[in-house]
Amino acid sequence: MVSGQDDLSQSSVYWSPAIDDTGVRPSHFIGTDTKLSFISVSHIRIYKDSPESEFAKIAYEVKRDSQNSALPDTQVLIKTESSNVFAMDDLRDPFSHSYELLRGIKKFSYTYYKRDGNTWKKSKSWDSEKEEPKNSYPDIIELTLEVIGPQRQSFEGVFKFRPEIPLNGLYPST
Amino acid sequence: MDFTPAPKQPIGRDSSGIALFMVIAAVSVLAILVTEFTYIAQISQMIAFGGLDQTQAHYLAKSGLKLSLLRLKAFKQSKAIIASLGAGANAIPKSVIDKIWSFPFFYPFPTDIPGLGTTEKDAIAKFQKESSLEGKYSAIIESESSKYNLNMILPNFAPSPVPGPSASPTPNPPNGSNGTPAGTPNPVPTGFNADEARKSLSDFLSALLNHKILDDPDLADVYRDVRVDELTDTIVSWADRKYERRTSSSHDPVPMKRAPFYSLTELHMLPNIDDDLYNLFTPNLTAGLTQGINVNTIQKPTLKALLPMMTDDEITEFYKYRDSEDVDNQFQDSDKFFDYISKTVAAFKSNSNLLTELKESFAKRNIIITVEETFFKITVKADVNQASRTIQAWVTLGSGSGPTPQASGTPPVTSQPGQPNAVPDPGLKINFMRIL
Repeated sequence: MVSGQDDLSQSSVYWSPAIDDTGVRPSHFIGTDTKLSFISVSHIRIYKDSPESEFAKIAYEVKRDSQNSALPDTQVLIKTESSNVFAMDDLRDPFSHSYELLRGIKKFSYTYYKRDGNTWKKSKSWDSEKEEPKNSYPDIIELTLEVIGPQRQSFEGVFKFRPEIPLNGLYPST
Repeated sequence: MDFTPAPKQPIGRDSSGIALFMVIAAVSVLAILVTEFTYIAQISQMIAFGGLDQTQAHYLAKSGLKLSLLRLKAFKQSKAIIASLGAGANAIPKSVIDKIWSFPFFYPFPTDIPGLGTTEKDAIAKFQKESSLEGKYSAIIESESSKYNLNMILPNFAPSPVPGPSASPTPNPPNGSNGTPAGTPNPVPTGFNADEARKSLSDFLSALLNHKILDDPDLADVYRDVRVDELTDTIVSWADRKYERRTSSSHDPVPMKRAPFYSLTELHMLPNIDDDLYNLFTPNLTAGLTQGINVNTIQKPTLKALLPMMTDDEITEFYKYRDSEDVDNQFQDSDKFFDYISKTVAAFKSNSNLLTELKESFAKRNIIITVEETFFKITVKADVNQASRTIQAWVTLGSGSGPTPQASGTPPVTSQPGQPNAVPDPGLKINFMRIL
């Protein structure tokens, strides 16, 4: 099988180009207004002898919900994950699975924050390859959400997520 | 006298007793409703308490992690203080300093320890009552340098030379913090031989397998068909992009990574390593940024595999000597280790060239003997009622000397935008961490 790892300069949605000739690649974090994708290190194997490590490709994305006739013009939040984590070809991945997490979304928006000295840099998109310093992740991800329920009840919320795992040394979360 | 017969009730129109049925039906419906409501209430309560327990377990595990980081910080600072004593540093046993991190920590504190007086037991009980910490946790810090590094098959991942015992060890700075799971490789070391390094891994795995079979003959049938050369072939093929694989790739469940191991769990993705083999090998392996193999923490299977010429008796004597409670026999440098084996292992005593050959062989295989620990694995497991949370973290001791990490209290960095703090160098670095 061809892994796609052979081209060291190649990057993918989840992996950046190799940083040396051994093939070590920084993981790639891409965030937009409605989608974010990253490599997780907290994947849990359930089945004996399954070919899975503790790494997994994870993506959260909102898409137009064409199946929800009761609530037209709403979106659905979908989580996609794959344990075939080191494969560079993300389009033809037989290990990829998608799950619908939340329906009836009217408004959905990610905002990314990075600490910059004593201030916070705010952005509506993030690409760890293009950030300065390179390969850095956001310190906080804010999600603004509005959801409509079946009885037309609505819910609005703003959630802030901070990485539990320190991305540089011991901080921020520990 | 004529009697007029009473008019007969039409058949099927007698409604006597209907009230009873209605009451029974109503009570039945009410019973079902009450049962349903009770059931839903109980389920909701269980979910709520389960969530509460999960949250408590999470923060208890984080407390355990912070306390473990504090212990590592104390270890680092103690070493620096002792090193500043100069000649007097040797008066403090190395094994005592290592106890700062190596001693397993449990909460609640066990009170059934021999020699513990009633006053101490009462003080512990009082502290635990006042702490209002629910649940229990264990925090274990392990040496990663006591294990064989899988990435030693790669020339660029040769460990850096280890400084002397008086110097503050400076680890190879890892680059894994910002999304790079592995460290920055070193330049290709002189004397490295890729074939020798692969053979070394093969020998190491064979030795682990053979010792397991010897210890437990019932496993001989299970592992009889294991081909270590094929195992090594796939492991090297997974990690070394320059390696030309000999075995077929038709059974590969996933494409070969062709890059260094970031985590041992990647072994699960190889075609011929099932969970039993994985559990056999991994306690003696690491994929971390170790400086070499630490002979002051090396475990028996690793020592046996590294020095197959040592007999069981000699290995027993080695641990008796090294871990003596009466005398500090921890090795102060690698020369002291080589000196010890040259004097106590029969194979070296009978052949004076064997030691030189061993050192040359180690150099070719990327094996560096070290006596200092700079790379640790912290495992914290917290339980609150039925909820459980585990945190694993791989930590490198750095060169910084910032303030001691707080074991409890407010984290040094705020979580809200607009209120950031400057981040001092804590002298420790979490290279890799997972919350399960």
